[in-house]
Order: sequence, then C-alpha cells, then structure tokens
Amino acid sequence: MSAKSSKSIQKLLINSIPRELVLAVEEALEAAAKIAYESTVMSHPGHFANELGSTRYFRTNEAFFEVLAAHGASPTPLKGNELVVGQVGGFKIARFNVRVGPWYNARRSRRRMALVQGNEYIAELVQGSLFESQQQVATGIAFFVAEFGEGADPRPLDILIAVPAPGMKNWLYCESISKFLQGYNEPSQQDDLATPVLKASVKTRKDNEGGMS
Amino acid sequence: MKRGINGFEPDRLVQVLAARRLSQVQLATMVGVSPSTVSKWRSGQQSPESETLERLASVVNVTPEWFTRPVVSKTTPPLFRSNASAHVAARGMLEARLEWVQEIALSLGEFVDFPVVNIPARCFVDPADITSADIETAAQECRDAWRLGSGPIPDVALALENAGVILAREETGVAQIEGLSAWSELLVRPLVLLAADKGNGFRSRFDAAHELGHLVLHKHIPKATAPERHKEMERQAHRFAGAFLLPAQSFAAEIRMPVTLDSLLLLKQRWGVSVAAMIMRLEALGIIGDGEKLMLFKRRSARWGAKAEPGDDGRPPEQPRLLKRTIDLLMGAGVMPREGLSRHLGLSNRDIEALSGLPHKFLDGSAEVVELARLKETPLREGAGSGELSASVLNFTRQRKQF
Repeated sequence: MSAKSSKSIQKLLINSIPRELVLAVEEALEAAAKIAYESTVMSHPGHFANELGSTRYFRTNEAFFEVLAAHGASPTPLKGNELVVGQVGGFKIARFNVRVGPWYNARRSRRRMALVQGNEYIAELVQGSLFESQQQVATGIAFFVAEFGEGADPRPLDILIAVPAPGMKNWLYCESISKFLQGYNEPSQQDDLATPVLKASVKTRKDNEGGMS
Repeated sequence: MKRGINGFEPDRLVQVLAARRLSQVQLATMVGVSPSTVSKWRSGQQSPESETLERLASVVNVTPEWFTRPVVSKTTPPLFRSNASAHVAARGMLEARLEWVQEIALSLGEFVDFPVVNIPARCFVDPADITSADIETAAQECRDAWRLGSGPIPDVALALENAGVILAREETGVAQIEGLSAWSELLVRPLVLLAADKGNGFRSRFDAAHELGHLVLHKHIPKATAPERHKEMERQAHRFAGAFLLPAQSFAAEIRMPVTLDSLLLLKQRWGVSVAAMIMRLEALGIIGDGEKLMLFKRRSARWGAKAEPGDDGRPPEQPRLLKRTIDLLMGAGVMPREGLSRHLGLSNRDIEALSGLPHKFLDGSAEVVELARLKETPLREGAGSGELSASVLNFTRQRKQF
C-alpha cells in the first residue's frame, strides 16, 4: 500500500473517530491487560496461559464496552464470547488481542470476517479513485489490536489501529496508536506575515519623483 | 577646554567599544593615541580631531559621521539566554549589537510598516508571582493567537516575525550566550538576537521560544541582579519554551511508556525539539520523575556525549526574513540604493548584512568577479563593444583586528 493511500485512510479514520475516544481505548486496553494479569498470576502454571488469555478477552471486552458507551459510540451488548462493536461516524470499531507475529487469529471469528466485508468501499478507494470522490460517506470497520509478547505480559507490547481488507488477508492500514495520534496534530499551515509594507507617504513621494532618491 | 570636532557623541564610543569587545587600551593602540585620550573622548572632556576621527572610524569599521549621531533610547534591560560563566564584556557586546538591530529597524521603519505586534500581554512584576500554570497558559495563548494549532510549529522564527518581533541571528563568537531579547520603547516592539554559532536548528528553535518566554513573561520585571532571581527567570523562560513547542495534550499523547531515547529521537524530527529538551518537558509535565530524567540523561551522555545528538543536522537553522525583506523592498522600490544603505545607517556592510540576515557581501555590489585595475591599457579588438569597463582598486591593508 502506498504512503499516500495510507495517509488517506488515516485521514478518514481521524475524521470519523474522535481523538479522545482513541486515547480512552488505549488506556482501557492497557488497564484491562493489567487487571487480567494480576488476577491470574497466581493460577496453576498448567492453567496460567489459558486462564490469562480468556481473562484478558473478557476484561478487555468489558473495558472496551465501557469506553464506547461513555463516548456515545453505541456498543453492542456484552454477551459471552460475542464481539463488542461500536459505531462512530461511518465507521464501526471493534477490537481483538493477538500475539506478536502474523495475525492468523484475527481470521478466526466469523462475525469479524463478516464485518470486514464492509471495508470493500475503502479497498476500492485505495485501488481505484483514491479518495477523490467526495460524494460517498466513508464507511468501514477499524480494529484496535492489542499485541502481546510470547510470554505472559502484564501489558501489551503495542496497541495498534488496523483496517483490514475484505477477507482479512491483508491490511489496508495498520499503525501504532502513538503514531496514529500524530495525525490529529499535524503541523499547522503557517501564514507568512513577515512582510514589510512601503509607507504610503514614501510611495507617494517616489511616484512624484519618478526615480531614485 | 574641549578640542576636536563638534558633535562627537561619547556614548557612541562606549557603544562601539562594547560592540567590538575592545578595551580602551586596545582601541588607543589601534588608533595610535594614548589611552588617556580615549578616556577623555569617552568622558566627553575632549573630542577627536577630524583626522583622528577618520582613523577611529576606520579601525572600528563605522562611518566617521556615525560618531556624531546621538544614541537612540536604550531598550528595556535585555535578558540573556546564557550560563553563569558568560563574561561581562560578552554581554556588553551583544547588548550593543541588539541596540544596533534596534537602530537598523528604526531607520528602515521610516520607510516601511512592519507587521503589527501581536504578543500576549502579561503584567508580572516579580518572577515569584509566576506559576507553572501561568506559563502554560501564556504559551497556549501565543499558539492560539498565532493560529498554530496543537501540533509541531513549522517555523518558530517566522512565528516570531509574524507577531511583529524584530529578529536577528548572527555568529557572535560567544559560546556561552545563546540569545537575548528586549522591548524597544521607540519601536514599541520586541527585539530578539539569536547566536548562530552552534549551527543547530533544533537548539535555535528552542532559543527563539525561550526568548519569546522572556518577552511575554518578563516584560515588566526589572533587571535581575540577584543570581537566584536570574536563575528563576531562566527556568521560567525554559518552561515557556517547552510549553510553546510541546503542548501538554498533544505531546503527551505521543509518548510511549516507558520512555526510551530512541522513541524520543523519532519525535525529535517531528516536533523539531532536541531529545534533551523533550526529557525536560516530560519531567515538567510529571510524565517522568526526577529519577527517570536522570537515568535518561545518563544514557544520553553515555550514548551520544553531552553536546550533540543524532539527527542534529536534520533541520537547518531557521533564518529571520523581515529585515532582509525590508532591505530588498527598499532597494527594489528605488527608495534606497544598495551602496547607500551603509551611509544611511552609519554601519559597515558586514554589520548590516550580519544583523539583517543578508548574504555575505550582498551589499558590496552584484559583481561576483572583482576585476583588478588594469596597469596597462590593452587596445580593444574591433567590434568588441564599446561599453564602459569597470574596475575596482583593492586596498591591501595591514593585518590588524578586522571588523
């Protein structure tokens, strides 16, 4: 994917998802991972990895749900293993956890796979008219992805925001939250006012003289 | 009884001694008079004779007539960005240079209008009254007033000049002083002089922001004589620079914990602020504690040494443009010819170029190739044109202290 289309998707996301919500999700995912770790660290070594994985899933889902609700992002209800999906602007937002390395796990959920089909619009834009069409409202789904190391970590190695292509075999956009947030604070277009202006009296005098002093 | 030319201004002598960082004895030797004579000129008891004045003007590289111009009102006491070891003579030199910047702006200001001054006003009269919250608010107010948003500032020098600051940047030869600033009562606008010696774009942006801090926070505070008071004002200007360049909300969101030097190196290029200044800002914001700050500085020294950082050449120093544009405008409009500027200001071409941000030798004329005087006229080939031949005589002067 070209840098230009990556930048364009970032812009779409930024226009749809408020910065506050991104920061809140980042905080919630960090906090949920910590809670999950602390509540399972005393588990039997034979159970620990499984228990940590499923506890992370539930705690993170709860934390994610709360953030979406607090920001008016209409989350789907918490219910068992079901995915929590919120809606902001034209974008749906959801989450998953992965281990560092290829994200094979991401394709495991049927619901996720179904949702991702909605990204056809973005994929078309990337391949086709490259965001030149302003008529259509941007729609799609973006995932917050907490990436954990191989060991039992109390916190994710990284939290990313990712927009998968339909079929979820590749990613139209994938960036660390810390980097993604930079897009909300791009350097401003600075005016150049450092321009002197000839005084009116000098101009008139020059006009009358019609030459140099 | 007073002898010599009429109208000699002793204050000009004082100013040029400071600007050239010369002692009376040194000047006396250069002019070929006794130190007591210089002392008498300085106290106004005596004025130099016409011939001596020519010599005096020549050695300090100003026009003789300049010594008869009254010194214009001083600025508010300048505030220096410097360490404690900065020599008194060095401060005096920069103070005099800043006065010259004021004079250049005043002279040019007869012909042009500069940008309107737009600096948020604060009325603190004692540094002890200024809280960290005041500083953060003032820095944010500057950003808001100048529509800089909350991201990196593309060009701090331009931001200052847009707000009506007269900015100069020159090599000063004084490593300990990075800049100074003052308010000109005559121009009713601020002046900033930045030292270009370190040639580091990141530091220079911070220096400019630091001076802005002084201009906003300390405008009404009398000159600090007590070292503690001076130190506190420096700390406040530092805090202001950090807040102006790295706003709490947007900068903090981009920090990954735990903080590493490499993550800061990436942000350095984006924000245009050195890693060292970012560490200080993180501590000021309470994102890292004193222990972490020390650890980061320790690692920084171990990896990169104390003075340089990787990527220091990633951003060229920002250049002032207002005075240069003014001179270009006046020349272009035929208000002032190139060769008339030095006469008009009384200063040498080199001084005007350095203080106005003009290229070296810009005022010497457009000819890049200097033709030497012909010793023997050679006949022109037929049809070779009949245009006038120009030639300059180059004087070879004795090797003395040159200005």
